[in-house]
Amino acid sequence: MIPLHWYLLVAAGLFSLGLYGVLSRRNAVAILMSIELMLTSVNLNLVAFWRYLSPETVNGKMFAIFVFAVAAAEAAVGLALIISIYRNRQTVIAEDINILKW
Amino acid sequence: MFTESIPFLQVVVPILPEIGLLILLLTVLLVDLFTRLVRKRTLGVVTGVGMIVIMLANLFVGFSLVNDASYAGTALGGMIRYDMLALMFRTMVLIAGALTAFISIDTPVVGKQGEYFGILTVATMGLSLMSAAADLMMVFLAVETASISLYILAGFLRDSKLSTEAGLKYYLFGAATAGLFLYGLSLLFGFTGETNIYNLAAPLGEMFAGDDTGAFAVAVALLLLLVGFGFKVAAVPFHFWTPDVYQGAPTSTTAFISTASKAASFALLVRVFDAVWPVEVAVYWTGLLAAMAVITMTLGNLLAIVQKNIKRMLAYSSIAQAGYTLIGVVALTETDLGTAAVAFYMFMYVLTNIAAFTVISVISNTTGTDEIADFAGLSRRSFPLTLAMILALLSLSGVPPLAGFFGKFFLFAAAVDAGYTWLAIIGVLNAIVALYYYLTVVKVMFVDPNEDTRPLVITPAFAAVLWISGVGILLMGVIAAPWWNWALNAAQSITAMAP
Amino acid sequence: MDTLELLVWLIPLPPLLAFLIILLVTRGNKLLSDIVAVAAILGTWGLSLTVFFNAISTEHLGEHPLRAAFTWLPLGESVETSFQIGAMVDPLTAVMLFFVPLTASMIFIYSTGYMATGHYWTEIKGGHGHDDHAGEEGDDHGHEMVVDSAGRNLVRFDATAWKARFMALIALFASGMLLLSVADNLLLLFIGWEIMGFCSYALIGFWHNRVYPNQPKRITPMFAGIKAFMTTRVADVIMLLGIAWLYSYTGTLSFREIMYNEAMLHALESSAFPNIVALSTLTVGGVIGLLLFAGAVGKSAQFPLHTWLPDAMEGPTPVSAMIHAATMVSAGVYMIIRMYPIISTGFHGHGFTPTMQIVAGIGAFTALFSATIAVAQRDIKKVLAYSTISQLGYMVAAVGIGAYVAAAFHLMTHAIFKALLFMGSGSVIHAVEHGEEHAHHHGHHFPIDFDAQDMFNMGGLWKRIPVTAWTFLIGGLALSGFPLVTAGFWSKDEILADAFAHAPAVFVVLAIAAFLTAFYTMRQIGLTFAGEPRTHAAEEATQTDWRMNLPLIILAFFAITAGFVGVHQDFPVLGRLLGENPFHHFVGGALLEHPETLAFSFTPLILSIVIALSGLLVGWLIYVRKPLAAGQEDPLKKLLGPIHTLLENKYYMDELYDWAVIRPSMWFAEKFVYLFIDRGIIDGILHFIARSVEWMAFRNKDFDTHVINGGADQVVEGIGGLSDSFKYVQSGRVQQYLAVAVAGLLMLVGVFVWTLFLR
Repeated sequence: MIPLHWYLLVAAGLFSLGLYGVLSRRNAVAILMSIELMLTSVNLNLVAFWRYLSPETVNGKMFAIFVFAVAAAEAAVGLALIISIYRNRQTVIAEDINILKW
Repeated sequence: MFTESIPFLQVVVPILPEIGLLILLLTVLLVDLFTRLVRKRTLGVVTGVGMIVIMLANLFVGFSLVNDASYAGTALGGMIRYDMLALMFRTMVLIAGALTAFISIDTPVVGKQGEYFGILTVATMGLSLMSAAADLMMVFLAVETASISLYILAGFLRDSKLSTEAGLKYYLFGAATAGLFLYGLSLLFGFTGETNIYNLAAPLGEMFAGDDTGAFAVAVALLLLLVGFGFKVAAVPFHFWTPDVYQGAPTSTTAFISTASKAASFALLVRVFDAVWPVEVAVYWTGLLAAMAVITMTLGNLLAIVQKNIKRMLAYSSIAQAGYTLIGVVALTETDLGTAAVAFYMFMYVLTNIAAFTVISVISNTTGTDEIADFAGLSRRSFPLTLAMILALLSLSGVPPLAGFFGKFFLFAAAVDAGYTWLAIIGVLNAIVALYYYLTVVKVMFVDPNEDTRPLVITPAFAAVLWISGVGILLMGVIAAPWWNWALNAAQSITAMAP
Repeated sequence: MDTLELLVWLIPLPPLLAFLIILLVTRGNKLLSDIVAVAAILGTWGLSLTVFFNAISTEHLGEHPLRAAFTWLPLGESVETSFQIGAMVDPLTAVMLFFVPLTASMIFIYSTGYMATGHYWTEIKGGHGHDDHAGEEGDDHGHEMVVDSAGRNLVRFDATAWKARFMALIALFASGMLLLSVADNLLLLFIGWEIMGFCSYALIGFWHNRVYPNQPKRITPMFAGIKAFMTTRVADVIMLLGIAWLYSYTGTLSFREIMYNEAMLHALESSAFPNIVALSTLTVGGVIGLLLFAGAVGKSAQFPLHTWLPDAMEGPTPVSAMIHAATMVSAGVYMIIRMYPIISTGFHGHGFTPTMQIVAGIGAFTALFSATIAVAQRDIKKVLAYSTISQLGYMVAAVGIGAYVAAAFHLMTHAIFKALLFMGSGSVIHAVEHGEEHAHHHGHHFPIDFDAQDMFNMGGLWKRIPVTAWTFLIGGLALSGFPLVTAGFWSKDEILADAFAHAPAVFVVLAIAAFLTAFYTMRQIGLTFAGEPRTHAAEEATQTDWRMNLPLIILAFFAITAGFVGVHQDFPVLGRLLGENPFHHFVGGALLEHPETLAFSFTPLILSIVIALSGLLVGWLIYVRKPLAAGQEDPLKKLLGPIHTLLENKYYMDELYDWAVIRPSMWFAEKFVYLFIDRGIIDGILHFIARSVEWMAFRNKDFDTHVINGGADQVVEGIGGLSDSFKYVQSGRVQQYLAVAVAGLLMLVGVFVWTLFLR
């Protein structure tokens, strides 16, 4: 059986990739995708922990399902906000959206 | 107690506000469906009055059940913890929600949108759950329910460049920090196999006391949690969204974010810190948190001084206020006074900030902008508004006998009691700096000339909010003791044993 | 707490609510504001009377006062350590509850009439008729512009413009006084005290845009307000010191716990400065008493802080009545009577302590000092102002010689007859102003500096305004201590009798002052009412407003009868008839140590009767028997010569203060604090910090323009520079925010791990 820490390392790597994407991608949609990546890595974590440490309960499974649901809602709202920004500015480049500052 | 004999009530009572808000949400949507556009102000009235009714019902039932600090009940399989702390912070959240609904009625665009009030209700529900959450899953769900609703509320004005930008920035910053927060939660679950936060402290403490790897892992998980909280309460260095969002969002949303969201976040923060963070870790994190408090209040105050936009100034002021409140969080490991001071401070802050943003709403309805310069000559244009603004500003700066003075007094007293006298001194120094920019607004209102003679319309809804918050500010100041006792009970109830 | 005790709490509330309602709701409507204010004070009067009658029918009220307290400021986690505040009615408070709402109600009713008419001069800056109070009520007042001798552009201003605000402020004032009266601890008392301080500032300077034509040197209402505020502030700070010392020494500020507690009073008798031999006779209580007394010196206008009070006459006359009768000055004396056990620490009925000697000395000196000044004043209100100071001196002296019951008695009667006199003088002034307007319409010309308050412009008013004249006469006789039929006689006689028995020196001083009092009162009555009118304004003076006459009549009734509650039981005939000196027995129960009852003696009684009558007689001979003709000089001037000039100029006290205090402190503030400390040291440090930060981290173009264009010459801009440099971190780019946040997180982890490995 594959050891637990392999899963954890994959999840950590995925999370780091997501975080890097959030910080470096210019397109807001890409940033949103990176955030989804972070959430996915959390799910991987949760399921792995559940399967290896406490398979007799349903905690981890439930948690992961909730995260799915919330991530979907979050993505929907995020896309809506990006569309409304695009209508106003004709751009979705995150660093150009900077009227509010100082 | 009558609830003990009826099992049904035992299930219902702990989530009474949520049930009420759900019914209210459906009602609002129905009202929206069946009213014509000219009569849309009914929406706000229904929402506001509904929330006040829910608050009163919850208080009534609550006080007949939770009559002292030692009571704690759980519901939904441990997801919800029903104690004095939850009762107090839910009351704050519902007051803030109701007053925000009233402000929204006469805020342009949003006041006539059923969706706005619907989402406001959902956000209130999320914040109410945050005040009572006792399980990592519920923590996450509550935080996200509130956050996602707030993103929409902030970006609600689809045709405004500022509002959409505020919404998107809030969203991107919030979602990213939520990712970090959630990662921390998953680690905590992994380390302990538990999700109920009251069961976490023991295994985490054991792990922390063990080898260095374990200690490091626990530290990282806890600090990831701190990022999430830091974002919600606007503490440095997770505060960056605050000024941009406060300035860009519709004023009623800003009022709500700055009060209800902050209060509920502090409720969750003190509960998690008191229950989850193992005593073994306390020595390490109190120092970090104290440093965070100092930087937060100092930076907030310094940056508030140079602002020209009143909403932006209040955003930085809100950061500074979060810094003061963190003093109470620092103190809470040593003394219950810390938590009590946080609760008291948040209660007065809800009333005070709502009052300030209401005045801003009235003025920007006439002028169309939110510059501090718009306040010039206000004392000659509208005395009630001036009076309300003075009350709010003096309370924020902590001038006796207003509520804000006692808020700061209790925070600093808690710090001294916990052995953090230096923190209290820095707090006092900061309060002096803050006095400067608050009084600048007062000066502008009284001294600066203004040729603008357009009438400032205080609609009945605005008047109601100003009266409620103004009387509250005075009452919490002049008669501080009952509120403080309530806060003390709330503080002691965090660690009460559940039956 | 039962209903009655709850009522005590409610007493200060109606005027406070009236203040808020007028300011927030009815301020646009004068009539409605009048109704709200008067209704509120009448409500309070009703409440007070209910409490008062319950209080006087309670046996041993001193031992069991009506009291309702609650926890106010929690200190620590238990109730025992918290600070309690409450309301209390003991005999002394009951006395206050009798006369404060009574006089205040009368003044409110009177104000509705007094503030309904009138004009004054105001200066227009820059010559154009722009009114900087747009949006406030007020009618057209810019009809004619004149230029006075000082080259100022003046117009008539409607004195009634801010009537609603006036009613609101006196309501707040009354509320402050009532709060002070029912307070059961020094802190609450001090809060009421300060509310009154603020209100007196706002009310004295109420006509803040008023100027006096051709008299550029004369103090204007605005500066009089500032002067009153500043002077009393000096005293308040000293008093606050006393409160702080008392609290740190006893751990409580509650009157009952200190004054009615043998152990506490005994503890206060220990030496205050045991290490300083010269001061070792001063007890802790004595020093605290002195500090508190300083507060009363300011509030009750005792020498040397008395100068604000005559200038406070710049306020509208109802304010003068309010300040000098019902409220503010009474508050000072009330406070020292209340604090008598502390002031008299170690006294026990024999051998005056140093503190008491100082109190008695200042009181007696003030009584005589200001009585002499009053003799030479021309302004009808100034005479009353100095007479007030003098009468307050009596009360203070009485407290100093241990006769606090007599002081309380005189406090009550004086409040009533002095309110009467002030309102009478207001009525006179109004009548003369009306007369001036009438005469103006009939073609008589007046100089723009015509002064309707100058008694030499009056004369012969007896026939024009009989109600005012009769009531003023009654008040004047009460002030002079006309035997048997006036309230002032009984109270003043009690003070004199106490002084005669215990402190002969004080008696002599007070007796001379009493003679002068009777004399200047008669002079005032003669100049105002007797003879023939000296100006056309006086000739056509009228006063028919019932709102101003009714209060005069009611107060006149009390000015006669209020004294009968305190007649000595051995006084021939009357003593038995009036029930064995009920006042003395009632108020005497307020303290732990009951005051001795003085044996009745005829000597001081006869002396005081002779003094009062002879003073009145001399005044009558000079001013009534041979009334002054128009333009005739004051006969006193010839009689006294240079002394008259000295008195007329109030011993040059104002000039002395200007030279000795105001100028040096202005110089200090300007040259030393502002230039040296503020701009030199503090700014220097701040600029240094700001520039260092700039050099270290945030050097870029934006920053240069914001900070280096320095020359910032105030503290604030120093900090502003610092903030300016930080604000550019908020770049508006959300990914930079996140990057900083993540960096912050990594830093936190770093610090945490570092401390972890140190464990």
